[in-house]
Amino acid sequence: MKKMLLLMMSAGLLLAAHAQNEKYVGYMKKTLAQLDSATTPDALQQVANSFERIANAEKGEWQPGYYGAYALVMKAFYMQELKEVDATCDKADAMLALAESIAGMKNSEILTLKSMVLTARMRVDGSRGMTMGPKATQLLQQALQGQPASNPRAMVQMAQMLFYTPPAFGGGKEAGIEWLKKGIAAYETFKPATELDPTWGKPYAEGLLQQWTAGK
Amino acid sequence: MKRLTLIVAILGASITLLAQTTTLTGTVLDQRKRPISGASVSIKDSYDGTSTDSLGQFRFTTTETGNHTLSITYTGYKAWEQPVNLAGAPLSFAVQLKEDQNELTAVVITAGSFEASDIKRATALKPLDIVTTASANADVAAAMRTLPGTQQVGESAELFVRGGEGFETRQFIDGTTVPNPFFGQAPNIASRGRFSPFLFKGTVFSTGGYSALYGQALSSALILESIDLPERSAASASLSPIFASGQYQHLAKDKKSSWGGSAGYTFLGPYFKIIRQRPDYFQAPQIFSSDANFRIKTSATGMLKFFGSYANQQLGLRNPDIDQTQLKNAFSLNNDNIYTNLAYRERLANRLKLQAGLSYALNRDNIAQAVQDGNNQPVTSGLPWYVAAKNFGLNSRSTLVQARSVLEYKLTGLSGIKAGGEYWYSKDRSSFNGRTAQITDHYSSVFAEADVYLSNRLAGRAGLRAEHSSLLNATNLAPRASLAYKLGGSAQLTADYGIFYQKPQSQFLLLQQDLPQMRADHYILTYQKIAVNQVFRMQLFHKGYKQLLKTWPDTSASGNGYARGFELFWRDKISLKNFDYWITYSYLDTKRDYLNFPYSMQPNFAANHTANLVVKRFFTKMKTQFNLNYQFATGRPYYNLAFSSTEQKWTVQDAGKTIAFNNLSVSVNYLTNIGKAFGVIVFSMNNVLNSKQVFGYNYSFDGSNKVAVVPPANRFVFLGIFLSWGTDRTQDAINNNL
Repeated sequence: MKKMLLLMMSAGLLLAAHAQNEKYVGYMKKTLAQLDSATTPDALQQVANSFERIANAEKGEWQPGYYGAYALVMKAFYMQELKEVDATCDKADAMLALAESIAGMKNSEILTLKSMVLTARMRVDGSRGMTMGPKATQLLQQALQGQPASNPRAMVQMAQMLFYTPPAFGGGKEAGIEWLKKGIAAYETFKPATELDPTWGKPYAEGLLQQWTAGK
Repeated sequence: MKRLTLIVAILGASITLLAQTTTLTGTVLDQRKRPISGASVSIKDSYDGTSTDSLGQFRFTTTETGNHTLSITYTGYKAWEQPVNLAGAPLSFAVQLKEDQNELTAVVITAGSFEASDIKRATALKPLDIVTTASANADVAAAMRTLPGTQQVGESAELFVRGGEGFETRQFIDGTTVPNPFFGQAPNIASRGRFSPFLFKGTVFSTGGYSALYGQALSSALILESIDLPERSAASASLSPIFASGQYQHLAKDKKSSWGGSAGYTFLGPYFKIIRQRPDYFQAPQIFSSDANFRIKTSATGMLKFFGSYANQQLGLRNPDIDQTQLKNAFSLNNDNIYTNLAYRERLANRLKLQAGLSYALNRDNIAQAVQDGNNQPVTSGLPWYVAAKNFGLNSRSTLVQARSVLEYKLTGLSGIKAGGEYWYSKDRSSFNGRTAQITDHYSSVFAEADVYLSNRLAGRAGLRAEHSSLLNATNLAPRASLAYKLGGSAQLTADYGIFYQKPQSQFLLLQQDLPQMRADHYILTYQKIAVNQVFRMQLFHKGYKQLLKTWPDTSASGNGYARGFELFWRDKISLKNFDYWITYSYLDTKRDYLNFPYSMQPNFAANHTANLVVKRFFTKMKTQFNLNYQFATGRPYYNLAFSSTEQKWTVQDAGKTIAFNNLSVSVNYLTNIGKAFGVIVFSMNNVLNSKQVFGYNYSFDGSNKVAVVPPANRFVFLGIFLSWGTDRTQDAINNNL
């Protein structure tokens, strides 16, 4: 009887854990679908809120914080009110810090997104490029050396960083296009570690290549 | 069996519990009852929640049961939380979120200042702006001269602010004062600042009403904050026909410490051969300068910084004697200057911060003037006394040691208290024609200041500074106060008040010490509207001077004066595509009775109207930035003050106003790569239009000869290249990854 009870209890625990994980994956998938269809700053804020709720409930998972920050960075890129960009970026940085405390400092996806937050902040004032540009590049270099290796998102970000930086400051269009092509090739072979890990960015990169090489 | 039943019963109960749902609805408004859309509503530690819609309303259902916390958050507002019991019955909430006080949305206590930094919002000039201001040639003070409240005093490098003399503006680096921020100066020829703008990450230029943390400046404070650890190790060099310098900064591998230094040599000899100067230079200005620094991150929040510099400067020039034009005055200057600064900051506890500084400064001047004949031979005999007096030697040496510490305690929100003290030990020795005088002063002060944010719209600052000088045997209390009110949007209104004391200059104290401190009372009203890329600012001020030094009928503190006026500043980076420009206008009405003035007069460094236009544009394709600066000021008064032996007093023998001051400056910065170095080629020219500039007039002893004070050359032209090599080889790293 005792054994049976023990067995039942452990089975129950396992089941509960499995159910919990299923619930997490289910919620994440649902919210990721919402993220895919969110194109306005308001919609992105709502998705960010949803991810934040999941992040607060699941203290052992880095992906909710990561996607929450991603939604906020996108909002920061789209929003009209420049004076609110910094506050939105502050929030994104806070969520990334939380994600990094779970995933470690060498997570290539998080480092890439941190660099994107800086790029968004440069919208507020062009002269920030002097100090924030090198920092963003440094983060991307760390991202390229981090895990997962051959991260296409880090490569495409590096491509954009180079493309829009004048050669005098160490950038260049040719180098940008080269990195973009490398990034697109990396999308072909990239395999996310879990089904919730980031896979976004391929269509954008392909569109970018068309735009950059048009008329050549 | 009983047990099994129990288990089944429990399971059943939990299933029913699981099936139960609760609906939560509500509205989220701000303090002014406007809906907040996009706020996050959640049951803490669960997935359940939603976001508010455009009317601030929310509605969601949860399967959680029992006691939980409902949390509502939105960027810029304080989080709202409330315990809820989820038992199936619908719950409704009416929530008002309170604005979170943060630097982005709150009213700013400006204390009459212009800030230049990358971080703060209320910025007017950023560090890069200082380097790209056409007229400034990368001189910090010269760049400040494009801001309202400053005078165009072409014969001096100092900052003359709101009817104040140059010495009334004091410079501070990391809290400690810099006693000699400018290179030594020949009579009526402006020198420049000793420190490169690249040493500083932040600049606060206050044209009045500044914080109780700073003292010994009647008019204005230029507060400089030195940079922390560099981004990376780097070497740099600069080369031009007038100077060469090299610099190296090393950042440790763990990025917790750095050291560096620089050395430079400036010599204007070849330049003066090409561009003729009015004075006859027998020793063209020559400067050897060097500095060293280290910075250590002592903990996650602690930083220790050292900066030390040494410079030697020599110059010598001849001008015709004003009394006997066949004679000449040969002036020579040899200056040694040491400045060191050790600054430490640390967060001692959660809300408590410490800032401490130690500084040692030494300035030695060796000045001589000789009356010479047509063959440049000294003439010492057969001269009337007023010409013979121009043969002199002056050796002076001044030392200043400072210690300072400030504690800052954060209250709730942005409110906080700062308190601290400082001690200056100064020793001045001067030997004029062999007669030596020396003074020593122990100056100490304690100060405290509270910033109180009553709401996001209303903030106040109250400060008090107590000062004691052992030399003057004087104790003074200097209260300061500010009140800032946000009008809505990005506009705000600020009122500043303060009493400011300053010791008389050491050349007077060497002769007489029983003098009180000079005093200025400031009243300032500011309206400003700051958007991301546009700044508008309007200021009204009144400044009353008391206890100014009089040298006639005897040395006393019976002088007084006033300055009042208004100023406008407009900066715009978006309206004209790719252009960045600012416009300033200053109106000044000032009179003072000091030194040997027979009565209250407008001093000769004050113009009534001053205006500036600064335009910058970067052409990305050409990798070139063009900068333009037009400075205008109406004429300044000049006087021939002569002692009338019949009336036994000083009288105004002649008076007038100079012609208006016009100066158009341009500069071009071209960015390029030379080998592995990143380079900037800089060309600049002052007074492009070759406008005639007259700063005042000198008179002979008998008043019959009147000579205009003019710049040594109509134009200053500069061409130089600045190179930097980053040793982390960013570009190599990128290429290797390809």
